[in-house]
Amino acid sequence: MGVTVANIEVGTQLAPLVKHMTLEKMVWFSGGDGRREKVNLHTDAAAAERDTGMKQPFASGRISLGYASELMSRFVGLDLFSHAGTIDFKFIKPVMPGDTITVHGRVSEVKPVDDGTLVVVDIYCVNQKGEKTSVGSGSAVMPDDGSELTVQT
Amino acid sequence: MENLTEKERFDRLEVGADEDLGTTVVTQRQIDENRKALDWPDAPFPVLHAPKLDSTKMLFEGARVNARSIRRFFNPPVPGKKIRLTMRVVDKYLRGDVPYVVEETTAIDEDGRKIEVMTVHQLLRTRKVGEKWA
Repeated sequence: MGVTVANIEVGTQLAPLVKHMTLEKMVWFSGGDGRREKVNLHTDAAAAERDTGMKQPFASGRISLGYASELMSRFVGLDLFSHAGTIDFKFIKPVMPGDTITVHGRVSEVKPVDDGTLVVVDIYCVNQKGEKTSVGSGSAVMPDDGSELTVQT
Repeated sequence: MENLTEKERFDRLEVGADEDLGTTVVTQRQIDENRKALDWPDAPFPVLHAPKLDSTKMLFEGARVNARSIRRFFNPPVPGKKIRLTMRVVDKYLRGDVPYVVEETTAIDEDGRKIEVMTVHQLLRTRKVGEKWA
């Protein structure tokens, strides 16, 4: 039998995700289609210096939140997370172009709720220097139907 | 607004009322760019861009930096469908003398499907980032 909400243990570590940040990705995310101000502190060095004093643009924190979303989606399933998932993330250090970000998760809570079982994962991101860049949690309400969780990918 | 101090503008931020930010449409291109940005081929939720400026932007023009985000997902957006965005300022606070505003945006598409609710803590004195990290 695979891992389900019935047997997942608090403290279980999820397989980490590794991501490489580039300016090109930052431009897609923060300066792409639909964005009113394509030149901004996340895409342009002059705007970053004018608005924040940073010498180069830094990644939107919501990119890291997207990484956390992927971690959770791998764990509970994409379809389920897309309909019953939450990420709560604080951005504590800027992520710069060229950074390698590793996303870690650890199951911190499993408890019954009205429409299933709430699974909470403590999540944090670190850069290549081992510095935390964001911290928070992900959660999803799993139905009590024996759906399997994916711990290792 | 130009003659108001930062503290005066912060004091004028109103907490509580709903604001209609208009409708947006998610394009397949937005979805594809989001997926490339995240290196995640299946990423379902691009960031939604509001067509109208909200009240905090009237008081604090220019950039703001996202200090914390909470995204609750309900249904992935369907390309081409109109999505109405409604925002509410749910809180404001000072850390020391540095102002933050907390904005909650609800996205519902033209079929009544709730897409997501996003709560963002915005740092309004964006120069603080460079003071600490530059």
